[in-house]
Amino acid sequence: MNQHKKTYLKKLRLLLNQVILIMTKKAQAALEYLMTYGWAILIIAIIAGALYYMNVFSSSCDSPISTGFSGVEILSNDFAFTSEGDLEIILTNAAAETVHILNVTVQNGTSTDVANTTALTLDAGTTITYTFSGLTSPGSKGSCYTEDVAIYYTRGDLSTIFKSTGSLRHAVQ
Amino acid sequence: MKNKNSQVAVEYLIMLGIVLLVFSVMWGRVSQVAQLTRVNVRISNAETYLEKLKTNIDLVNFYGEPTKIEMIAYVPDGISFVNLSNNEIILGVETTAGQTIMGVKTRANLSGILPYKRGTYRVLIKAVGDEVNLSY
Repeated sequence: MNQHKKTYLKKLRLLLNQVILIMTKKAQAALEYLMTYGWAILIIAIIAGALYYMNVFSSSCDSPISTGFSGVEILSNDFAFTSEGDLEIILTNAAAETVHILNVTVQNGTSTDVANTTALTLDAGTTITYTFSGLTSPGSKGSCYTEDVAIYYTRGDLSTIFKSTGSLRHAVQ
Repeated sequence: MKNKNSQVAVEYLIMLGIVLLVFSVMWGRVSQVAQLTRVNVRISNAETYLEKLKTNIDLVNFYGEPTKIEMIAYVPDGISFVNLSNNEIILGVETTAGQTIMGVKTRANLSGILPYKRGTYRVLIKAVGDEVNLSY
């Protein structure tokens, strides 16, 4: 009986030793892996952190972007497109003199220009709101859109008809 | 030995894949922002070009003949035309949404020619009688 017990214990000890050996080998492999690729993981983590900080992983439409206008402008926070197809824009006179707005057109998706021909005079630094109704909605709430807008105007007593074109990009509200 | 080699190769591929993925996401975002910024910078440079011209033309006109000024002007890319019409300078700038037309009014009638291709130019602004002549 004693002999049998001794043999059993010996086998158990051997098994434990093997388990420890395997575990030690695995830990060593993991450590080696970390030492080899640790620098790369670290760099990736830093880059990923920086990208997250710059909102790269969020949709590019999360914040409103307005580009290309001059003279009469639409600022980045001055427009909204609803899922019902209503586009509201606020025009700002940045021309440093009185302007006469003749016409505002929107290139609505692939369809032809939609024009708002309400002519009015805008003093330097002032704003006016234009609303376009019944446009083709770019999608449901939250989906991304880009609309090209052209503003035709005259400045002071200049005879030329000026044109301020630009793009508006944001999520449908 | 063979197993170890293939393990190293797989680990290397995984790491390279992750690095490439991160860089491609970053590249896409950066080029998008760069394109938007390029248009705004172009508009801003064109406005500066016009304002600088107006200031110098009005100055030359104030002092009269034979005053002349040599102005260093930076003309941005994407300028489609420059027109001199009586006392107006009209400039066409290409944007992602089409052409923006901007301009300034000067005190004197203008004659001559202005550069519109990208680059830095020496523009000669010269008072000639009641007019101001522009050349480069």
